[in-house]
Amino acid sequence: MKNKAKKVEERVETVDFQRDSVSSIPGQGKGWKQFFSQWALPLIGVFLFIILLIGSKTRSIEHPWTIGDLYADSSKRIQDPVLKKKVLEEGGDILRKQLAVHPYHARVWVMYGHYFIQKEDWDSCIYAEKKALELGSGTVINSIEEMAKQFLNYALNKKLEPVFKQKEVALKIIEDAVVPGSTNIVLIKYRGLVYVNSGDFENGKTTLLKYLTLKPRDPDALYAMSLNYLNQGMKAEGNEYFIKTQQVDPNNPRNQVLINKLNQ
Amino acid sequence: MKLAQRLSYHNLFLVIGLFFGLKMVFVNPPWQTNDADRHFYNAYNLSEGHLGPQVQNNQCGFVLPDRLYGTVIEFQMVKFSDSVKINHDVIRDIEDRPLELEKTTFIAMPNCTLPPFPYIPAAIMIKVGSIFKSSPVWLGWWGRIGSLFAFLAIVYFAIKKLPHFKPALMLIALSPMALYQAASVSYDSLSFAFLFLLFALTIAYYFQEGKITTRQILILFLVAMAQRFSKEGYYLVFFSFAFIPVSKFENKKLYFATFGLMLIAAFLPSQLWSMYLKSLHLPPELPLQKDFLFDLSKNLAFHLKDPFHMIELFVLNILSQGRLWVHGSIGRFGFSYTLLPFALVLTYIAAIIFTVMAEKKEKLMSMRFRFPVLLLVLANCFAIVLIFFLAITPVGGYYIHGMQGRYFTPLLPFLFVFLFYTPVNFIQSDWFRWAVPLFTAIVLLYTINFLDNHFYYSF
Repeated sequence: MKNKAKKVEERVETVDFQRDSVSSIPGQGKGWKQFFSQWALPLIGVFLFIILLIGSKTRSIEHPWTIGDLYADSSKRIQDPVLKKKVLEEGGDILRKQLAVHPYHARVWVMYGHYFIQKEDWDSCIYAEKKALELGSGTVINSIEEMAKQFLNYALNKKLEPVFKQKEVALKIIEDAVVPGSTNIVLIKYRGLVYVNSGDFENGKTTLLKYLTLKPRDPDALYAMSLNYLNQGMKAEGNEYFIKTQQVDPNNPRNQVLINKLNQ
Repeated sequence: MKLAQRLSYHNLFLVIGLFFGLKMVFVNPPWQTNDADRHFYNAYNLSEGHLGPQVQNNQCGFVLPDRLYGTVIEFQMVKFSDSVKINHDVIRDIEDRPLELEKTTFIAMPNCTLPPFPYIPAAIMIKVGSIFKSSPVWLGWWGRIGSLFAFLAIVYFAIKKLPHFKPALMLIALSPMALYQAASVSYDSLSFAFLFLLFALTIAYYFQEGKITTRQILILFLVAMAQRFSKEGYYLVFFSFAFIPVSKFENKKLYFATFGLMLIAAFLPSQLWSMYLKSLHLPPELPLQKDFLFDLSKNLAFHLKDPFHMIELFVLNILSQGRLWVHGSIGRFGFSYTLLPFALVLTYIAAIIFTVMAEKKEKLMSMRFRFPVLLLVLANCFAIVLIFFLAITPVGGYYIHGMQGRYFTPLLPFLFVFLFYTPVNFIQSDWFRWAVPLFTAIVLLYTINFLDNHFYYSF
């Protein structure tokens, strides 16, 4: 039995060796066979290489959500209001469908919020960007945090504009925009602006000072600090912040309000 | 020793590699390769005697000198362009910045649980080099030099060991991309080197007169293990040996034992490392990226709902990104935004093909060996793309994320030799011996100049 197995093994090895030797001798066979054995693989290689080189010219490939975002974003540049709305809604529709399937993609929520900015739907934008921040905060690379906060703060500012003087309402809107685990220092500024606009000078001062320690050259906060002091009749302090405002934002027409108050 | 012996390919490789490799170390701005910061922290952590990450406040990371961390941060996310570059003076100014080892901070870090093996050469050189110069920038350079030395030493033996295709391996190992990665603190340096050595051993064993011995198989096994400890994704090519005729092995048992050893090499290193990490009871690692959900099983489940669409997407990605991958396998630098001129890349590829074809065929390589190995290597390339499609691309995404040509660079010797080998001798003269090193040196000279112009102001 053992001998038989050994013989089979030897035969396999012999056949294997013979086949190997036969196939390795160039010129075995004639015509096409010889040509194939010599050139088939190099020609396949060249063919594959050409496909790779020209393949990029055939068709580009995009994520479906990127196409939705492109539609929404490009609608900004369309003049015709009917077409503009159609393209925007097409983008929104794609993003909505994508989020129904992939609700875990923070970046798609950012794009969805961006769509709502084009639509001027501030509540929906804030909701979408909050979702993005909940999902995507606290990472090292390709972070969505800054972009999501920018969109959120923009929508929040728009939403606050008509109610800046209504302290309770405005503060409630700001509180609703807070995302646990994500730091958004602009919310401190907005709180400060609400206090200043609603005449709560003391809270306005402390809140804006807290913000200015983090962002000492923010023109809105410097302007509001100056206004806060001037509204209380504290001209020296108001002038100090007016000078700082002029240094960082000299051409803003609203600075005239401070000049007028200083000259009163 | 005769001049011809002194000027053999492995010696020329060492001279050219050392000269231009050291140039690469310094021309590449500090921490300007992909993920260079995290690779460097891993190497630095190892140089301080820590095998794994450290834990503070229930977080994984590294304890780093403030000066070191601050300097690395300074060089991250520099968007190099025609108008944004680094001034040589900036580097000169911070070259002697003291490290101030007494001021350290714990930094929670993603990728802090990578196996330490590929960072050993960099860590040793960081430790040794810091005796002479220990500023943060110099520590980075020492690390690069350590990686470069290890790469050159391993590939030197690979070329020396090769009975044929020496100039082809020399061209590939000294290609701008290979040398750039070799001269960086990254797992690519050792991974490239060990894959080149694996290629050399496979070819050497195939062509050798005598039988393949147990000792030789053990060497192959150790090289495969070392590669696998360095980087994952290439273990299919470990099995190239399987297509060497059984009759060339000492006995059949050895042939089949080699399968077992290669399986061990393919899977044991990652298992060992994960067992070690589990024994440390580490808190979860900081996520690297959370803008999308990346999950292999969810992505696979999503695509399997429509497998034909999945295949279509896969093919479309290869078609649309293939050219960039070809480009990246030879010359794509920095944070992957700096590409060598495509004409040069094409010329380089043509030179490799020509070199393989022009190899003098003293002994022939059979189709029965070439074809299956080629299929195996192509399968490995496909597997790399597929894993990026499923694990690195967001769930449900169409466009493959993060795939770069340099992932194919260590497979180029297998691809080019097994694809473009022809059993015809069409160059008889000896001029070729000089042409390859000369061509390599010219391309590297151009590359160094290109990188210098791209990254630095000329004034």
